[in-house]
Amino acid sequence: MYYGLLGLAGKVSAPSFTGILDTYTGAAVAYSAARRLSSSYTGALIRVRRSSDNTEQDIGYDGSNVLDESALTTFVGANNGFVVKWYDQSGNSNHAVQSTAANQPQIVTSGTVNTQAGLSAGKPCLTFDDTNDFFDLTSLVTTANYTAFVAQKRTSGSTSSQWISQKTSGSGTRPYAAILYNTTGTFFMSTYNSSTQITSTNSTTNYILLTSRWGSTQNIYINNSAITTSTGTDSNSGTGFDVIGRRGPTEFSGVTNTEIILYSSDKLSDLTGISNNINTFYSIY
Amino acid sequence: MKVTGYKYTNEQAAIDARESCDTYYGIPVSPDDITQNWVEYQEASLNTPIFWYIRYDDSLNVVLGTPETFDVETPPFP
Repeated sequence: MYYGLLGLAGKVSAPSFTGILDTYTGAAVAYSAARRLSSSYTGALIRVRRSSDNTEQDIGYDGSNVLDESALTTFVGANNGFVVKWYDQSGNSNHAVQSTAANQPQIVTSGTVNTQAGLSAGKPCLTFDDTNDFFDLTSLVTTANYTAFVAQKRTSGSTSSQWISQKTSGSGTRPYAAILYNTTGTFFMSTYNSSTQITSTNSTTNYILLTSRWGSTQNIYINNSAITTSTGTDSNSGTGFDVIGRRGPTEFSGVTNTEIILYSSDKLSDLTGISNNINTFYSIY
Repeated sequence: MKVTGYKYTNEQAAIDARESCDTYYGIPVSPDDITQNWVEYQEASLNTPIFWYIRYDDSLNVVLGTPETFDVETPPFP
Protein backbone atom coordinates (compact mmCIF):
# COMPACT_ATOMS: atom_id res chain seq x y z
CA MET A 1 0.00 0.00 0.00
CA TYR A 2 1.22 3.48 -0.82
CA TYR A 3 0.85 6.15 1.83
CA GLY A 4 0.87 9.16 -0.38
CA LEU A 5 0.19 12.86 -0.08
CA LEU A 6 -3.14 14.43 -0.94
CA GLY A 7 -2.57 16.53 -4.02
CA LEU A 8 -4.38 19.70 -5.04
CA ALA A 9 -6.62 17.75 -7.37
CA GLY A 10 -7.58 15.42 -4.58
CA LYS A 11 -5.55 12.52 -5.91
CA VAL A 12 -3.34 10.45 -3.69
CA SER A 13 0.18 10.45 -5.04
CA ALA A 14 3.06 8.20 -4.12
CA PRO A 15 5.76 9.76 -1.97
CA SER A 16 8.79 10.97 -3.85
CA PHE A 17 11.49 8.41 -4.31
CA THR A 18 15.13 8.94 -5.12
CA GLY A 19 17.15 5.84 -5.92
CA ILE A 20 20.88 5.42 -5.95
CA LEU A 21 20.87 5.60 -9.76
CA ASP A 22 19.06 8.94 -9.68
CA THR A 23 21.95 10.39 -7.73
CA TYR A 24 24.79 8.46 -9.35
CA THR A 25 23.73 8.26 -12.97
CA GLY A 26 25.15 6.43 -15.94
CA ALA A 27 25.19 2.82 -14.77
CA ALA A 28 25.74 0.28 -17.53
CA VAL A 29 23.87 -2.40 -15.62
CA ALA A 30 22.31 -2.45 -12.16
CA TYR A 31 20.73 -5.37 -10.32
CA SER A 32 19.26 -5.60 -6.85
CA ALA A 33 17.40 -8.41 -5.16
CA ALA A 34 16.30 -6.14 -2.37
CA ARG A 35 15.40 -2.66 -3.57
CA ARG A 36 14.39 -0.37 -6.37
CA LEU A 37 17.40 1.58 -7.60
CA SER A 38 15.92 4.31 -9.79
CA SER A 39 12.78 6.41 -9.86
CA SER A 40 12.72 5.86 -13.62
CA TYR A 41 12.49 2.12 -13.17
CA THR A 42 8.98 0.79 -12.64
CA GLY A 43 9.38 -2.87 -13.57
CA ALA A 44 9.88 -6.05 -11.58
CA LEU A 45 13.08 -6.68 -9.62
CA ILE A 46 13.25 -10.42 -10.25
CA ARG A 47 11.41 -13.24 -12.02
CA VAL A 48 11.11 -16.36 -9.90
CA ARG A 49 10.51 -20.06 -10.61
CA ARG A 50 8.88 -21.99 -7.79
CA SER A 51 9.88 -25.58 -7.16
CA SER A 52 6.37 -26.88 -6.58
CA ASP A 53 5.29 -26.75 -10.21
CA ASN A 54 8.09 -24.80 -11.99
CA THR A 55 5.82 -21.92 -12.95
CA GLU A 56 7.35 -18.43 -13.08
CA GLN A 57 6.22 -15.00 -11.91
CA ASP A 58 7.65 -11.49 -11.82
CA ILE A 59 8.16 -10.01 -8.34
CA GLY A 60 8.33 -6.25 -8.01
CA TYR A 61 8.75 -3.72 -5.24
CA ASP A 62 6.28 -2.58 -2.62
CA GLY A 63 5.26 0.89 -1.45
CA SER A 64 8.57 1.26 0.35
CA ASN A 65 10.47 0.56 -2.86
CA VAL A 66 11.88 -2.70 -1.55
CA LEU A 67 11.31 -6.23 -2.84
CA ASP A 68 7.71 -7.27 -2.32
CA GLU A 69 8.49 -10.20 -0.05
CA SER A 70 4.83 -10.83 0.60
CA ALA A 71 4.19 -11.39 -3.08
CA LEU A 72 7.29 -13.56 -3.27
CA THR A 73 6.39 -15.89 -0.41
CA THR A 74 2.77 -16.03 -1.47
CA PHE A 75 3.86 -17.22 -4.89
CA VAL A 76 6.48 -19.70 -3.71
CA GLY A 77 4.58 -21.01 -0.68
CA ALA A 78 6.46 -23.47 1.51
CA ASN A 79 8.70 -24.50 -1.36
CA ASN A 80 11.93 -23.21 -2.91
CA GLY A 81 12.21 -20.22 -5.24
CA PHE A 82 14.85 -19.64 -7.88
CA VAL A 83 15.65 -16.47 -9.80
CA VAL A 84 15.35 -16.96 -13.55
CA LYS A 85 15.73 -13.31 -14.45
CA TRP A 86 17.42 -10.48 -12.58
CA TYR A 87 16.08 -7.31 -14.06
CA ASP A 88 18.47 -4.56 -15.06
CA GLN A 89 17.30 -1.33 -13.44
CA SER A 90 19.76 0.90 -15.30
CA GLY A 91 17.37 1.52 -18.16
CA ASN A 92 19.52 -0.46 -20.59
CA SER A 93 17.39 -3.63 -20.34
CA ASN A 94 20.48 -5.78 -20.06
CA HIS A 95 18.81 -8.32 -17.83
CA ALA A 96 20.67 -11.22 -16.25
CA VAL A 97 19.03 -14.47 -17.27
CA GLN A 98 19.38 -18.16 -16.48
CA SER A 99 17.25 -20.47 -18.61
CA THR A 100 18.47 -23.73 -17.05
CA ALA A 101 16.71 -24.74 -13.85
CA ALA A 102 19.72 -26.41 -12.26
CA ASN A 103 21.81 -23.27 -12.73
CA GLN A 104 19.42 -20.73 -11.20
CA PRO A 105 20.43 -18.96 -7.96
CA GLN A 106 18.04 -19.44 -5.06
CA ILE A 107 16.13 -16.73 -3.21
CA VAL A 108 13.58 -18.70 -1.17
CA THR A 109 14.32 -21.84 0.85
CA SER A 110 11.38 -23.84 2.20
CA GLY A 111 9.17 -20.77 2.18
CA THR A 112 11.68 -18.40 3.81
CA VAL A 113 13.35 -15.59 1.88
CA ASN A 114 17.13 -16.01 1.82
CA THR A 115 19.18 -13.55 3.84
CA GLN A 116 22.84 -13.36 4.81
CA ALA A 117 23.74 -12.37 8.35
CA GLY A 118 25.97 -9.33 8.32
CA LEU A 119 25.49 -8.67 4.66
CA SER A 120 21.95 -7.70 4.02
CA ALA A 121 20.58 -6.78 7.44
CA GLY A 122 17.76 -9.22 6.95
CA LYS A 123 17.14 -8.10 3.40
CA PRO A 124 16.77 -10.58 0.55
CA CYS A 125 19.78 -11.93 -1.25
CA LEU A 126 20.50 -14.48 -3.94
CA THR A 127 22.38 -17.63 -3.05
CA PHE A 128 24.77 -18.85 -5.75
CA ASP A 129 26.15 -22.32 -5.20
CA ASP A 130 29.66 -23.01 -6.41
CA THR A 131 28.49 -25.93 -8.51
CA ASN A 132 26.62 -24.46 -11.45
CA ASP A 133 24.76 -21.24 -10.61
CA PHE A 134 25.31 -18.20 -12.82
CA PHE A 135 23.60 -15.61 -15.02
CA ASP A 136 24.18 -14.65 -18.61
CA LEU A 137 23.66 -11.00 -19.44
CA THR A 138 21.31 -10.31 -22.32
CA SER A 139 24.09 -8.52 -24.18
CA LEU A 140 27.77 -7.80 -23.75
CA VAL A 141 28.64 -4.68 -21.77
CA THR A 142 31.34 -3.49 -24.10
CA THR A 143 33.82 -1.50 -22.12
CA ALA A 144 37.51 -1.20 -21.48
CA ASN A 145 37.03 0.67 -18.23
CA TYR A 146 34.66 0.05 -15.40
CA THR A 147 33.74 0.65 -11.81
CA ALA A 148 31.86 -2.19 -10.13
CA PHE A 149 30.03 -1.98 -6.83
CA VAL A 150 29.10 -5.35 -5.39
CA ALA A 151 27.43 -6.20 -2.09
CA GLN A 152 28.05 -9.84 -1.31
CA LYS A 153 29.82 -12.45 0.72
CA ARG A 154 31.76 -15.40 -0.57
CA THR A 155 30.40 -18.44 1.21
CA SER A 156 32.31 -21.30 -0.35
CA GLY A 157 35.03 -21.87 -2.85
CA SER A 158 35.79 -25.31 -4.13
CA THR A 159 37.16 -23.80 -7.32
CA SER A 160 38.68 -20.56 -8.49
CA SER A 161 36.16 -18.35 -10.19
CA GLN A 162 35.28 -14.99 -11.59
CA TRP A 163 32.29 -13.05 -10.44
CA ILE A 164 31.64 -10.48 -13.15
CA SER A 165 33.36 -11.54 -16.30
CA GLN A 166 33.25 -12.33 -19.99
CA LYS A 167 32.52 -15.84 -21.16
CA THR A 168 35.31 -17.67 -22.82
CA SER A 169 34.73 -19.64 -25.95
CA GLY A 170 36.48 -22.56 -24.40
CA SER A 171 39.70 -21.75 -26.20
CA GLY A 172 41.47 -20.85 -23.01
CA THR A 173 41.63 -17.12 -23.65
CA ARG A 174 41.37 -14.92 -20.62
CA PRO A 175 38.37 -12.69 -20.33
CA TYR A 176 37.88 -9.54 -18.41
CA ALA A 177 37.12 -10.07 -14.77
CA ALA A 178 35.94 -7.46 -12.32
CA ILE A 179 36.40 -9.88 -9.46
CA LEU A 180 38.22 -13.17 -9.29
CA TYR A 181 38.44 -15.67 -6.48
CA ASN A 182 40.93 -18.40 -5.91
CA THR A 183 40.51 -21.51 -3.85
CA THR A 184 42.38 -20.18 -0.83
CA GLY A 185 39.96 -17.36 -0.26
CA THR A 186 41.90 -14.58 -1.91
CA PHE A 187 39.90 -12.36 -4.12
CA PHE A 188 41.39 -10.02 -6.59
CA MET A 189 40.97 -8.26 -9.84
CA SER A 190 43.49 -8.78 -12.53
CA THR A 191 44.72 -8.02 -15.95
CA TYR A 192 46.14 -10.75 -18.08
CA ASN A 193 49.59 -9.98 -16.72
CA SER A 194 50.26 -11.58 -13.40
CA SER A 195 52.66 -8.75 -12.66
CA THR A 196 49.75 -6.34 -12.43
CA GLN A 197 47.46 -8.48 -10.36
CA ILE A 198 46.30 -6.91 -7.17
CA THR A 199 44.96 -8.96 -4.36
CA SER A 200 43.22 -8.89 -1.06
CA THR A 201 42.84 -11.71 1.39
CA ASN A 202 39.61 -11.31 3.28
CA SER A 203 36.93 -12.48 0.93
CA THR A 204 35.85 -15.42 3.02
CA THR A 205 35.81 -13.78 6.42
CA ASN A 206 34.35 -10.36 5.81
CA TYR A 207 31.20 -9.14 4.25
CA ILE A 208 32.48 -6.96 1.49
CA LEU A 209 31.52 -3.99 -0.52
CA LEU A 210 33.87 -3.69 -3.41
CA THR A 211 34.59 -1.26 -6.15
CA SER A 212 37.12 -1.82 -8.87
CA ARG A 213 38.35 0.02 -11.89
CA TRP A 214 39.88 -1.16 -15.09
CA GLY A 215 42.43 0.70 -17.15
CA SER A 216 46.04 1.49 -16.59
CA THR A 217 45.23 1.88 -12.92
CA GLN A 218 43.34 -0.74 -10.94
CA ASN A 219 41.91 -0.35 -7.47
CA ILE A 220 40.23 -2.45 -4.86
CA TYR A 221 38.22 -0.89 -2.07
CA ILE A 222 36.48 -2.82 0.64
CA ASN A 223 33.82 -1.10 2.67
CA ASN A 224 34.97 2.27 1.37
CA SER A 225 38.57 1.69 2.39
CA ALA A 226 41.37 1.44 -0.16
CA ILE A 227 42.98 -1.98 -0.17
CA THR A 228 45.43 -1.85 -2.99
CA THR A 229 46.14 -0.25 -6.32
CA SER A 230 48.25 -1.14 -9.30
CA THR A 231 49.31 0.36 -12.60
CA GLY A 232 50.08 -1.74 -15.61
CA THR A 233 49.46 -2.42 -19.25
CA ASP A 234 46.39 -4.46 -19.99
CA SER A 235 46.96 -7.29 -22.42
CA ASN A 236 43.66 -8.93 -21.62
CA SER A 237 41.83 -10.39 -24.58
CA GLY A 238 38.35 -9.54 -23.33
CA THR A 239 36.07 -6.81 -24.58
CA GLY A 240 33.63 -6.42 -21.72
CA PHE A 241 31.25 -8.30 -19.44
CA ASP A 242 28.48 -10.76 -20.17
CA VAL A 243 28.35 -13.25 -17.31
CA ILE A 244 27.88 -13.20 -13.55
CA GLY A 245 29.09 -16.00 -11.33
CA ARG A 246 31.25 -18.25 -13.43
CA ARG A 247 34.66 -18.70 -14.99
CA GLY A 248 34.72 -21.04 -17.92
CA PRO A 249 32.58 -24.17 -18.00
CA THR A 250 33.55 -25.67 -14.66
CA GLU A 251 34.23 -22.94 -12.13
CA PHE A 252 31.48 -21.13 -10.28
CA SER A 253 31.19 -18.69 -7.41
CA GLY A 254 29.73 -19.72 -4.08
CA VAL A 255 28.41 -16.37 -2.85
CA THR A 256 25.40 -14.62 -1.48
CA ASN A 257 24.76 -11.43 -3.38
CA THR A 258 22.19 -8.76 -3.11
CA GLU A 259 23.30 -5.96 -5.41
CA ILE A 260 25.55 -5.26 -8.40
CA ILE A 261 26.01 -1.86 -10.02
CA LEU A 262 28.47 -1.61 -12.89
CA TYR A 263 29.56 1.61 -14.54
CA SER A 264 31.53 1.60 -17.76
CA SER A 265 33.38 4.65 -16.51
CA ASP A 266 35.55 5.83 -13.68
CA LYS A 267 33.34 6.46 -10.67
CA LEU A 268 36.02 6.65 -8.03
CA SER A 269 35.10 10.25 -7.39
CA ASP A 270 31.71 8.98 -6.23
CA LEU A 271 33.13 6.08 -4.27
CA THR A 272 32.19 7.38 -0.84
CA GLY A 273 28.73 8.49 -1.86
CA ILE A 274 27.83 5.24 -3.57
CA SER A 275 29.37 3.14 -0.81
CA ASN A 276 27.49 5.07 1.85
CA ASN A 277 24.22 4.71 -0.04
CA ILE A 278 24.62 0.96 -0.28
CA ASN A 279 25.78 0.68 3.32
CA THR A 280 22.93 2.79 4.63
CA PHE A 281 20.51 0.30 3.14
CA TYR A 282 22.34 -2.95 3.93
CA SER A 283 24.33 -2.06 7.08
CA ILE A 284 27.38 -3.94 5.89
CA TYR A 285 30.02 -2.03 7.85
CA MET B 1 39.59 -30.50 -12.51
CA LYS B 2 37.49 -33.45 -11.40
CA VAL B 3 33.85 -33.27 -12.36
CA THR B 4 31.12 -35.66 -11.31
CA GLY B 5 28.42 -36.10 -13.90
CA TYR B 6 27.52 -37.80 -17.13
CA LYS B 7 29.94 -37.96 -20.04
CA TYR B 8 29.06 -38.24 -23.74
CA THR B 9 31.29 -38.79 -26.73
CA ASN B 10 29.07 -36.82 -29.11
CA GLU B 11 26.94 -33.73 -28.68
CA GLN B 12 23.70 -35.34 -29.83
CA ALA B 13 23.90 -37.82 -26.98
CA ALA B 14 24.19 -34.92 -24.54
CA ILE B 15 21.23 -33.18 -26.17
CA ASP B 16 19.18 -36.35 -25.88
CA ALA B 17 20.08 -36.66 -22.20
CA ARG B 18 19.06 -33.04 -21.60
CA GLU B 19 15.74 -33.63 -23.32
CA SER B 20 15.11 -36.68 -21.18
CA CYS B 21 15.45 -34.50 -18.10
CA ASP B 22 13.19 -31.82 -19.57
CA THR B 23 10.53 -34.39 -20.31
CA TYR B 24 10.75 -35.96 -16.87
CA TYR B 25 10.41 -32.62 -15.05
CA GLY B 26 7.95 -31.03 -17.47
CA ILE B 27 10.21 -28.16 -18.58
CA PRO B 28 9.26 -25.75 -20.01
CA VAL B 29 5.93 -25.38 -18.25
CA SER B 30 5.01 -22.69 -20.76
CA PRO B 31 6.71 -21.87 -24.06
CA ASP B 32 7.09 -18.28 -22.88
CA ASP B 33 8.94 -19.23 -19.71
CA ILE B 34 12.52 -18.18 -19.20
CA THR B 35 13.33 -21.69 -17.98
CA GLN B 36 13.70 -23.84 -21.06
CA ASN B 37 15.81 -26.73 -19.75
CA TRP B 38 16.14 -28.63 -16.50
CA VAL B 39 19.85 -29.10 -16.93
CA GLU B 40 22.51 -27.97 -19.41
CA TYR B 41 25.36 -29.84 -20.99
CA GLN B 42 28.88 -28.49 -21.48
CA GLU B 43 31.59 -29.08 -24.03
CA ALA B 44 34.98 -30.09 -22.68
CA SER B 45 36.67 -28.23 -25.48
CA LEU B 46 40.14 -28.23 -23.95
CA ASN B 47 40.19 -31.99 -23.56
CA THR B 48 41.55 -34.37 -26.17
CA PRO B 49 39.45 -35.85 -27.50
CA ILE B 50 36.63 -33.36 -26.93
CA PHE B 51 33.60 -34.68 -25.11
CA TRP B 52 30.34 -33.37 -23.72
CA TYR B 53 29.08 -33.71 -20.19
CA ILE B 54 26.31 -32.87 -17.74
CA ARG B 55 27.28 -31.99 -14.19
CA TYR B 56 25.72 -34.12 -11.49
CA ASP B 57 22.72 -32.91 -9.58
CA ASP B 58 20.63 -34.91 -7.11
CA SER B 59 17.65 -34.53 -9.36
CA LEU B 60 19.37 -36.35 -12.23
CA ASN B 61 19.81 -39.79 -10.66
CA VAL B 62 16.27 -40.79 -11.42
CA VAL B 63 16.65 -39.86 -15.09
CA LEU B 64 20.28 -40.40 -16.03
CA GLY B 65 21.35 -43.00 -13.49
CA THR B 66 24.58 -43.25 -11.55
CA PRO B 67 27.14 -40.52 -12.39
CA GLU B 68 30.85 -40.95 -12.95
CA THR B 69 33.85 -38.75 -12.15
CA PHE B 70 36.16 -37.51 -14.89
CA ASP B 71 38.72 -34.79 -15.63
CA VAL B 72 37.80 -31.57 -17.46
CA GLU B 73 40.61 -29.28 -18.59
CA THR B 74 40.19 -25.61 -17.63
CA PRO B 75 41.92 -22.42 -18.72
CA PRO B 76 44.86 -21.38 -16.52
CA PHE B 77 44.04 -19.08 -13.68
CA PRO B 78 45.59 -15.63 -13.89
